[in-house]
Amino acid sequence: MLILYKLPVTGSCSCAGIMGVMLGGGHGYLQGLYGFPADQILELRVVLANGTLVTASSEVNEDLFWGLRGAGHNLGIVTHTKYRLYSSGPRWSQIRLVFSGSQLEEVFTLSNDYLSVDHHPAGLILWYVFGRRPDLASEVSCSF
Amino acid sequence: MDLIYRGDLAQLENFSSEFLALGGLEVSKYSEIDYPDLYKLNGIDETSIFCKKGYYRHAFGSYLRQHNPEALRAVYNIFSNVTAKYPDVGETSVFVIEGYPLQAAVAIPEEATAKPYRDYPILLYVSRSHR
Repeated sequence: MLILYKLPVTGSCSCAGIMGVMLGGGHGYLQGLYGFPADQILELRVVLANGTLVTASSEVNEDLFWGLRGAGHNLGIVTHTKYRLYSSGPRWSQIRLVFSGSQLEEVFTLSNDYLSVDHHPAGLILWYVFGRRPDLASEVSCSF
Repeated sequence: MDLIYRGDLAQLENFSSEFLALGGLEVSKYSEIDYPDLYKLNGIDETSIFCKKGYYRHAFGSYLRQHNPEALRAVYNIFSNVTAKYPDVGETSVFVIEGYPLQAAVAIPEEATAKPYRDYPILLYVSRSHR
């Protein structure tokens, strides 16, 4: 079944919501393709500390607009945001590899090669988690 | 580790070939994933221990330009030993390394917004959830 939807640039954890993430910059799966969540903001309505409600955009209150995209938590209460959406585009794929600690140096040495733009296309994210895997053999202890 | 890609699995397998060649303990492959479903698959949706209501969370993040295998070995050993000694910590803690592409992020000049450090590809942190 083909599902079409519009996509915001969200962070990499759904419980963080979108607004707080945008005000601090944010990181997420779409970073290489479209930038940070903060980069999608076109306009905000903000209640300042003196109680006034203002608009910030590239055309009005430009300094405030600059600060809201990356340091926005410090500057007021955002009540309304206009931001870019994108078409959903291709669906995603994922490969999950589980390594034991004995391969740590191999994996991260190889991973450094992947940091160059040649090896790291805009739509690819590499994610590593050290965690306990009690279901694996006892000598493995932690996997990543 | 996970390689997460916007595109088809055959292309991702091509990009991942050197990692796949390392072997490892397990390999799983997923395709035709809709964007909202990435969160559940990666254990960071509202039902996960790292997101669900009722917990306190601590997380301490750093940006890096590249991986340091020697330092990561030290981190891995500490994580392994501490979580072996305190199993409840092991159940609720992770050390995460997020490796992001940068193309669109660095296309915007750093002075254009208050967001600094556009060109660091790695964000890493330890995180624990507890009641």
